[in-house]
Amino acid sequence: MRHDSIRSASVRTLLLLLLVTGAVGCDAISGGSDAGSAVDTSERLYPAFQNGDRVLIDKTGRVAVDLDGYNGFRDGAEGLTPARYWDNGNHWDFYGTDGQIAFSVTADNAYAPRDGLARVQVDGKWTYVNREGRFLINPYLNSASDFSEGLARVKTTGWQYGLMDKSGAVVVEPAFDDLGPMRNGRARFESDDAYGFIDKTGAEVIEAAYDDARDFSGGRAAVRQGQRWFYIDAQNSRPLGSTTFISAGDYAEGLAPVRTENKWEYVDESGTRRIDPLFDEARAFKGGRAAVQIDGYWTFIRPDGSQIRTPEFDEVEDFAGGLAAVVVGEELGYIDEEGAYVWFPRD
Amino acid sequence: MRRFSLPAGLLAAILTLSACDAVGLGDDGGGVVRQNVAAYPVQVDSLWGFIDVEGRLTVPTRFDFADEVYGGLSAIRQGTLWGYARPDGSIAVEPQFQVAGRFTGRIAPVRTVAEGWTFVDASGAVVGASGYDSAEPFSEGRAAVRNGILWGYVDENGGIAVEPQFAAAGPFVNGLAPVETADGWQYIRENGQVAFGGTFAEAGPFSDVGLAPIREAGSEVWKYVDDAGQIALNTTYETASPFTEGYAAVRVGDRTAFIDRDGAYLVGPELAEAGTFSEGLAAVRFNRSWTYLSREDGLIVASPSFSAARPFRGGLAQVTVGSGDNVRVGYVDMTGAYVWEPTR
Repeated sequence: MRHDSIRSASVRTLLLLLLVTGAVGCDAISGGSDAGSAVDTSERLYPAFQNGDRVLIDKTGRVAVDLDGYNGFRDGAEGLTPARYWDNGNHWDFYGTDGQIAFSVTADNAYAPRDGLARVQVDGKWTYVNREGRFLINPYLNSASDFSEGLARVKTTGWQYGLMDKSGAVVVEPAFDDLGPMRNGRARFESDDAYGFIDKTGAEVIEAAYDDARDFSGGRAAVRQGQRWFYIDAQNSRPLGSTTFISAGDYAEGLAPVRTENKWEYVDESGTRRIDPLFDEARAFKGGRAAVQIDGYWTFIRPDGSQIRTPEFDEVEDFAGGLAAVVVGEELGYIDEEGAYVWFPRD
Repeated sequence: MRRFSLPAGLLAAILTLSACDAVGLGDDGGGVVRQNVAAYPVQVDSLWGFIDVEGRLTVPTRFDFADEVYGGLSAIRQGTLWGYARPDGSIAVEPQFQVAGRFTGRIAPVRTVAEGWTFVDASGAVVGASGYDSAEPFSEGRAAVRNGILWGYVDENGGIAVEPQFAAAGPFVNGLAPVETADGWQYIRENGQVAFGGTFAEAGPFSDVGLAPIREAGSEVWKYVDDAGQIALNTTYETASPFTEGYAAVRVGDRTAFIDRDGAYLVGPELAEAGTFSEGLAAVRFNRSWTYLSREDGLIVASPSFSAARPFRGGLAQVTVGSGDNVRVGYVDMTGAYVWEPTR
C-alpha cells in the first residue's frame, strides 16, 4: 500500500507514515499538525532510522539516542523530540538536545511543544503539557492545535473551533466551523464556504468574503475570489494593487511563490519577479531556503534562485533548526542548508 | 428496594467521612480527612489477601473475596458465605452470612440465612432485632432499616431510633438525613423529628459544609439548601451531588463540573462523570477512562487509564483496569502511580 501511494502522498502524510505508523488516522481527525510559518531555529534531535531501528540524531548526524523498543516518534521542536513506547498503554518520552528524557507523559498521541506547550491526546481527548510535563488543563478538548502567537485553536466539548490562551482559558468561545492558526494577529475562519479572518479577540476584522484563503505570513495573506488569487494585508488592503495570480503561496522572507502561467515563480514585496518560473511546485521560504519541485523531484533554492542540490528527492520537509528531512524512495535522510547530507537516506 | 439513589461510590465516601477510624477532621467543614487503613485487599490467582500501604503482600491470598477494610475489619467471602477478617488475615467472624456489610459504625449490617437482615458487633454477636427486610451501613450512629416498604433508623445499640415510616431514607450527615414522606422529601434529625422540608421533589444528603442538594416540587433544576432549610445556592443545575471535602459535582450543559460552597467552579463543565472527593482527590472521567483530580488546582494527577476508580483511603485508592474476563485490581498512590500493579 505504501508503494502504491508513495508518489502521490503529501510529504506530511509520508513522513507521518514513516515516523508514527498507524497514527495518520488520528491526525486527520484532529486536523493535522501546523507546519507554522514561524521559523523555529532551536536545536533539537531529529527522528531517523538505522538498520530498521529508530534513532534520534543531532544536527551533525551523530546518533544521540538509540530508540530500541520504541514504536513511534515525531518531529522535534523547541528543543524537544517526542518518542513513543508501549507499556500497558502508550507513553511518550520527550528527549532534550542532550539526549536525556526531559519528561514523559502517558498519552496516545503527542507533539513537540510550540510556545512552550505540547499538545497530547489521552483517552481520546486533548490537553497540553508544559516543558516539565505538567498538565496545563484537564484533557477535555475534542480537538487541539499547536500554539501560535500565544493562542491555540481548540474544540472544547462541542464541534466548533474557538481560541485558548496559554493559561488554558478559552478567550474566544467556539463558534467557527473552521479556524486556521494565528499568524500576524489574524486567523482564517470559514463561514458558509467563505473565508475571512478574525483577530486575537475573535472579532471578524476581515469579513468572510473570499472563496479561499491561506494563512497570514509576512503580514500578507493569499486569498482567492473567483478564479484569481491576490494578496491582502492585515487591514484587508491589497498591497499589490490589482495584480492577481492563478495560484499564490505564502509571502515570507520577502518572497512569495506565485503562478501566472504553467510554472511557479517567486515575486518580491512589490510583485516584481525575482526568481524565474521554473517550478512545478514551490513552497514559501523558511530559514533562507524554499522547497521547489522540478520534473517530479524536490530540492531547495536560495533567495537568489540557485539550487542547493540537484532535484533528487521524492519528498522534503521545510528546514527546521538547520536541517531538512528528505525522502528518497521510502528512506529518510537529512541535508544541511548547503545541500550536503548529514544523514544519508536509509531505513 | 430503597428508592433513594446515590452513585455507588458516593455512599461509601459519605459513610467514610463519618467513620470512627477517620482522623484530622476539618475545622469548619469541607476539609480533607485522612483515614487510617491497616490493609488493602488484593486478588492474586483468583484469591484475595491483603497488602500494606507500602504495597507489600502481608497476608497471602486465601479468601474468595475481601472487601476494603472499614472499622478494622474486612468483609470476606468463602464459598457462598460471608464473614469478617482482621487486617492480619485472621478470622474475626466465621463466614456464616448471606451478605456482610461494612463496619462504618460499632455494628455492621448482615443478612442471615434464617432471620433476614440484622446487625452484628466485631465478634459476630447479633445486636438488636433481626428480621429487617433491608439494612444499610451506619453513618453518624444511625443505620437505615426497612420493614416491608417502610424505612426507619436504628442506633448503634441495635435499638429503633426512628420508627419505620418513610418511603426512602438517606444517610445522616451533620445531624440531618433526607427521607421521603407522603408530603415529599424532608430532612429529619437523629431523633426522627422533622427539621424542615416537605416541598422537595428530591433531596440528597448533607455534608460538613452544611449544604444539601435538593430539587423543589414543580422545578426541573437543582439547588442547595442550608441546614436551616433555606436556599443557600439558587442554582439551575441539571443534577447536583452532595458536597465532599468542600466541593460538589453538578451537571451543566450535559457535562459535569465541581463547584465550591459559594457555587464557584473548581472545575468547569468539562467532565463526563465525577466521583466524590476523598483525601483531596476525586475520581473523574472525561471520556472512557478514569483518573483522579486534585482539589488543590482542579487538575488531574495522571493520565486517565482506569476502568473504575474508588475513593482514596489512607493514601491509596483501589483501581480497576481491563474489562470482561480480564478485570484486574490494583492500588495507586496520590500521584496516580501504582503501589500494587493490577492483578487478578
